[in-house]
Amino acid sequence: MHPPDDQLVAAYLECSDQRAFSLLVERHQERVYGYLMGMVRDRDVANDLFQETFMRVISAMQRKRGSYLQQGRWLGWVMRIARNAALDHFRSRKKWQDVLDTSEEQEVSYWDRLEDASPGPDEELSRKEDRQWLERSIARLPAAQREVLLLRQEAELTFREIAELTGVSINTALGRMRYALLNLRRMQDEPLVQHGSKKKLRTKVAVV
Amino acid sequence: MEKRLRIVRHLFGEPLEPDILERYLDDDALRTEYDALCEAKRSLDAREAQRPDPEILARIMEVAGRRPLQAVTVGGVRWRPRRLRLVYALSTAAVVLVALTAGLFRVLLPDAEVRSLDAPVEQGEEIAVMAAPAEDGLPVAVFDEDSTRAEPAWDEANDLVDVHSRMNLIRARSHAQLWDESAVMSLDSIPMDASGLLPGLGTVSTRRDQ
Repeated sequence: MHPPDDQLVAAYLECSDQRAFSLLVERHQERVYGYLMGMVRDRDVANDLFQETFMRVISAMQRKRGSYLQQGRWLGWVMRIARNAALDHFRSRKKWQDVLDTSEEQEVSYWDRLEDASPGPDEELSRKEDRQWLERSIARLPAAQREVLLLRQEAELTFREIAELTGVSINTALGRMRYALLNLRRMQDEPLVQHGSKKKLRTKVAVV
Repeated sequence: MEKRLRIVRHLFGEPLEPDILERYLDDDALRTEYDALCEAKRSLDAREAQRPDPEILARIMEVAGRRPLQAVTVGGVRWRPRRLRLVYALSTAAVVLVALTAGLFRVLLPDAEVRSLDAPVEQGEEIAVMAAPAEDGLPVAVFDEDSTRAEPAWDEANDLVDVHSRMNLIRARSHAQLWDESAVMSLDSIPMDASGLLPGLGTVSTRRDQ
């Protein structure tokens, strides 16, 4: 039997049930970590942010203060904390370039730059694993698109939750996801056009 | 655009009626986009899940268990939040009960306060009357109409003490003016001269029978 999140949260809040909290972390660790890893693309940093996220979660739940009011999904609340931890990281390192720029125009211009840049990823593709290639492709997405993709694909938030979390409309979140998928698809085709090894690389993508 | 966004929703699990999807896919542009989106989604679904390092999880669990949720230990008994909430509720109920009792006492008090001056007043009752709470929380003495015309019984004691202390004060001051002698001297205490008369005193009359 799998008790729902709310039940586990209540057990931890009301009875200090550590096992309940352990189940929550175990259940959602891949979602939170997958999101963080996709955002920072560094395992050590992702580990630090994961730990920071859950330290904040524990602190907020123990004091019963902060943003958690037992309303809505617990995971959505945790993802908000994870996102804030990631943003703090980027701000501290001044690497956060355009994740807060939500205009579609900015995304299009970013996409144009992406096409012109053509860093020749096919050579990398031929040497590295398919998974790494996909990670890099995701990393090349415009920040706003990448975030929506990670929140939906990794954290499994609904589009409504993503819209609330990022402060945009649902249609904007959906539009970003659409662009993200189309961009990934185009990236899959990039090396095929350049080097003509279409058959081989299509097979690689299909396996991934 | 609405159709394209609905296709995205469909890709992520939101149901879309089959006939509607087929109708969308009749459009070549939409079908091309749909195929591209499906391929990208498949590649994403094939990604391996990533997990944090085990030591990170262990550290989180340690912290989660190290700081129990507002639990306190009182007298060797571990009070957890639920028990604390019960204590808070009982405390609140007790405070309300005391407040209600005080209010009821205040309502019934005026009848008890009107007492005859002739009636003996016990010390405990005096305190109770004096301690009747005022609106600002300070104790006030409550008088009935008669008590405003005559000295209240409990005030006499103070007057007696006051008079007594003033007497003592006067006595102490008078004591300093004494010469160890009475102010009125008796004739017997005055020494006589050689003639047997008191000095400075002469016979002013004689007895008729002499």
